[in-house]
Amino acid sequence: MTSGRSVSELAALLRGGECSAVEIATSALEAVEEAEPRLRAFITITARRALAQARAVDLAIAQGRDLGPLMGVPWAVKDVFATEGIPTTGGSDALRDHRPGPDAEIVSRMDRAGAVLVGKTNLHELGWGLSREIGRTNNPHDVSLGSGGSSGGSAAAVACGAIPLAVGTDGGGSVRMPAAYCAIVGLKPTHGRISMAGHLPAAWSVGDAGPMARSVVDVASAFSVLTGQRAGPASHGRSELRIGLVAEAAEGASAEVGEAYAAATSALASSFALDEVQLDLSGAFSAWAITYACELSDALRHWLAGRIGETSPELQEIIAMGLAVPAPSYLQAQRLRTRLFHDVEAALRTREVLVTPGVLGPPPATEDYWTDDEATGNSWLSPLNLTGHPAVVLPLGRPGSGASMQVIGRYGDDEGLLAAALRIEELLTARSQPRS
Amino acid sequence: VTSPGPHLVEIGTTWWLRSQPGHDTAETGGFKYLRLWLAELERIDLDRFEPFDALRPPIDPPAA
Repeated sequence: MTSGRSVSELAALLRGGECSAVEIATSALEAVEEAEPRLRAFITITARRALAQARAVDLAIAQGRDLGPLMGVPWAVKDVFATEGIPTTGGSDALRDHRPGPDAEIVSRMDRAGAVLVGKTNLHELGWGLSREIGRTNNPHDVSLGSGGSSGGSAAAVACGAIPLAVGTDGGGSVRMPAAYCAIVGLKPTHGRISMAGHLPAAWSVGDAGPMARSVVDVASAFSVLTGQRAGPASHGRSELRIGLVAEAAEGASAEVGEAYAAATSALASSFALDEVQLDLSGAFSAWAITYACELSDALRHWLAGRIGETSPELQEIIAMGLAVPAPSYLQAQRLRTRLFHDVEAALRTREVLVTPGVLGPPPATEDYWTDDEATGNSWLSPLNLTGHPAVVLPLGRPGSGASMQVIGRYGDDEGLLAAALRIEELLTARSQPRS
Repeated sequence: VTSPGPHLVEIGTTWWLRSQPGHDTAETGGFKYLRLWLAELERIDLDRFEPFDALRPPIDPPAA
């Protein structure tokens, strides 16, 4: 009943009286259970909570109350946000029974909006390592491949059609990368737009929660609820859309990703004002990696004290790496962050959005850390965690190929970014339809 | 349970000392890249930029 349906389709079914919230939740739970052996997208399935919430939604409908666009919509949250009475493991063997307390702020907001939490999704351990016990999430488009991370479970749960909506977190591309690998839409909002209250300790100055769905409009509906708004995102009309194509951003892309991206940018040029923009990416990955390592190390080394031995070698290594960074190098990374922030701001002064590829190649076949591509590659994902600008990834081409487009918006104007992304998505979808 | 935190401090600081000229290290994994990242940033002239100018306070509105 729910498989593959969008937020608005499910809302229409519910409001039209064609099914109840309990029926939708039951169907979603069945779809999750069916996909789980192939994908390992979930760490905990919250069936009892989901059915209780769904019954409350049905009661609200019977009383004539409308809770908003997510009423009765099944969703899942990355297992780094606290949920009352349910473990929050961070994907770590060291935190199997960790129950940090009341619901995180975003979980409360989704709850008040009538969304139905069906589970907590798999991830790289605390955003970085790899739990030996839980294992990776497989890609729904090819289970021999990974779904990317760290919000891979959220991406796979949405991409397989079991649920229309999930929330991940993005400290270095962790929403946008798996969204690209799983061919869905993923938003990293402006830094601080969505509350992180109730999140496990993490790299705080680069990380944000972000919604993941199969369309921009569903991501926008979730964004409005996650930011505490009752109304949907404001319309930005059909005014001119000026797009900056970031020069050399597709350098190093696989043939399939490069061709899909080139076709998409050609389509943009036919409908919008498109020009090329030069941005200096040198040092950006290094500055991000140093910042991330230092913050994660600081956040975790005391908090995990006594349990570090139960964490993965990758997580232990990044904690040690953060401790090895000299203070002047950390400050140098922050200086580069300032330069990059002002460069991106300047580029967006005369353009509504910038575009780059999402990822440059297919999903990973293994979970090996530290390939040269990842550690030194030409990526425009993590630089935006440094600057804090909002960015959304849209799928292109063959699902599972990694082909994708990242659209970058002005700082604080996530609504404007989503409005622009919606127009881009409409154009690219129309272009991909077979001509009759 | 003894906290392994100090152990990781030792790994980190020992690595830094050993990475200095005159020490022969054969780093693997992430530490190999950490050396590259540190060296890359040192090569870029960033003196005219303030280190924390890009950080902005959270703008999440209060709960509805």
